[in-house]
Amino acid sequence: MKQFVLKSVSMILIISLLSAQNFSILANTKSVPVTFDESVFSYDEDLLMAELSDINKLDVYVEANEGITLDELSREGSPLIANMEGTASPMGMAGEEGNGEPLLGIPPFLWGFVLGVLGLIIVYAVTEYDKDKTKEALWGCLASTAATVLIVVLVSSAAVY
Amino acid sequence: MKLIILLFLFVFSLASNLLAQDYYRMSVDFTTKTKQAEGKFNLTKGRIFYDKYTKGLIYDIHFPAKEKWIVQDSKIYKLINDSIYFTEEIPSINEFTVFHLALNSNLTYFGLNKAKFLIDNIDKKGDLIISYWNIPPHIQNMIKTIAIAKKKNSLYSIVVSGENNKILNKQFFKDYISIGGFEFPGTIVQIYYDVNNNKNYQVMEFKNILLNDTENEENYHYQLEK
Repeated sequence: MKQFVLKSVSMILIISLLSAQNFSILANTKSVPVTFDESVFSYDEDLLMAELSDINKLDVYVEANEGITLDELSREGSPLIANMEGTASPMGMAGEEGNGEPLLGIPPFLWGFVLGVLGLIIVYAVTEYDKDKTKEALWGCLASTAATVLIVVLVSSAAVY
Repeated sequence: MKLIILLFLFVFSLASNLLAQDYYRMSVDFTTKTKQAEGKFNLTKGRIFYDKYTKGLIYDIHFPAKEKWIVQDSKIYKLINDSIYFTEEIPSINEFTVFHLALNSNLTYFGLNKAKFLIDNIDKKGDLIISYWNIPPHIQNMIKTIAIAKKKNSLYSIVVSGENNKILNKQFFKDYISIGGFEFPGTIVQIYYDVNNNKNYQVMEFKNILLNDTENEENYHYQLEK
């Protein structure tokens, strides 16, 4: 009977601990709930194609002339590069020098290709924001997880024996 | 009968092994097209090499000019003819790239769930399953909402909004390429809205994916000259 009561109390403590952890995480990150209309999750494909028409012509030309560079096109006086910026921008929006304050304080050349906005937000959230606090939170999370695992193991062992 | 059972077990274990295959590195041809609201554009073409264990990300660019960009640890190096001409400290970003996420089968929520973000609400609109995510307090002054739409269980769209639900960015993942159990978007469309609500576009196209390439080791581990 005593063992049954002890096991029951242990189980209740585990459930309480897990619930408390979940609620504390939610309490820290709660924001005002918002929902978007379905149209937000779409874009005008025709408009996009129209916007990219000059780039697509250049792309076709570059594909057909393997190894050609912007310098060579410039020397040829190609009209295909009339509005083109001269630097590579594989990692994001053009304009490496940036115009004004970069979003989240992260250099503009990291925009887009590698991370996307969401990637940037995650990077900022988990690495850039107050590194000491992030580390603290991480160790706190690990410590509480370890404690939970330890309690579960102990209770399971008690149940077996 | 025993033979049939053995054959079944063999086929089953083979199928399990194939499904559980570890995709640890990839290379892919890329084209990045950006178009700014004021009309300027940019085209960049080349091939990307990424290994998820060494976390080395290498861009072998051939247009607009031949150069290499290497992102490793918390630095980016740019090289022309194997000589470094630019170095900059950056956050450690490689684990949050589309390549790392895809190789770890974490692309569905763009790694948000792995970064300790929590789902606040789930909604269904047509064939989209939309999840709304809680925003950590320290970035709520910049970002108000992150919504991720899944279509057929794959990541389809990400919408980020700011103050007064103003859309800051939309991102779409399309034309998925499937190789075995590996999935990667063939096209990523991003739309950035500036302060005047003008649209800036960026389209990334991928083709010729090569997985777990062991014959071109040097492409994945560029040795920088000290």
